[in-house]
Amino acid sequence: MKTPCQQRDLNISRWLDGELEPDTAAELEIHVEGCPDCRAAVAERRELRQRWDLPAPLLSTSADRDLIVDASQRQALLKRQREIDAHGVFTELNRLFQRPLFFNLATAFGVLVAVLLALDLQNQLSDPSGTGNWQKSVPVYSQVEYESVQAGKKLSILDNDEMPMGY
Amino acid sequence: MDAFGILVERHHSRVINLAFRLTGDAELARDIAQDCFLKLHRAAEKYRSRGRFIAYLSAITRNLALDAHRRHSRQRPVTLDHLDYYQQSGAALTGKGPETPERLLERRQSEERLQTALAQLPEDQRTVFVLSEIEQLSYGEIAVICECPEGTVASRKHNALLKLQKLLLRKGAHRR
Repeated sequence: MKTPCQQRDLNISRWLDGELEPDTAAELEIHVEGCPDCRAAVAERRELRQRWDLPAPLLSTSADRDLIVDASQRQALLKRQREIDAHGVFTELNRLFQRPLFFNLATAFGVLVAVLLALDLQNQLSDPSGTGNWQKSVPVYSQVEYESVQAGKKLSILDNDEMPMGY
Repeated sequence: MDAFGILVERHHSRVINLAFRLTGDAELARDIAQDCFLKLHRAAEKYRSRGRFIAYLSAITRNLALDAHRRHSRQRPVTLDHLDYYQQSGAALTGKGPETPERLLERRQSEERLQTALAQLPEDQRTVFVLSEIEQLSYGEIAVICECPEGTVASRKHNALLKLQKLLLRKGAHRR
């Protein structure tokens, strides 16, 4: 049968680890002050703790760390490659559309602006006057049409009895 | 250096030393540390902060150390000859200036005694002891890592202390 002090032993460990409820801790502290056995137990536990108060036995070298970072980069590349092999271009498209909504909207707006600018530029190139009537004001005739039009003008002048003023 | 590189820089020492305390094998500890960080890298997208990151890292290390221990089922004798700890200048280790060969020898003996004593503890007690005393994790965090109630953590820790008390101080038997 354990004595009350032996039963308290577990609580001493918890108390030294700061894991005891405040009320129980205060009660235990009062007991330890007046109990030589428990005082000895606390002193022993503190002495024991000094035994592992040692610097870390292994040193972390930069070579070790670089090895891990390199391996992680290779691992990421392999993972990406496996994804592409498994799903092809759809994975890449999926990755693109996994970006935030704002980013996608901004991209769509940018594409729209670029298309509009391209259309406007094309219009300016085909209408250097900037009037918007360039194509209407200059009819495009074939050589035969042009000649017949010119001939028609001459005929109309010759057929006209009333000569214009100055003739 | 990317975020992962910074993380490795910050926690590598802790991980290799925890693995060493749990396995008693420096070479194995370095392998475990590498596996631990690669596992972390693979699971980075799934990581959700549910407590201290140290506890999460300790849990991965502990599981890997257990697996490694099972694979190398034959317990290797504790030898510290391969530890770079004793080949480095004391100043680098303690930050308190150069140490004498006598002091380094004393440290070596203390380390050897501790590691030998730890090797004699049952695996569950050793894990709880190392996580509590050396990694300074709370009982709650250890309970999550070891998947057991906090009361079990407290009793395992207590039993580990009593055994270490016997092994390291050669006293304390009167308390049992």
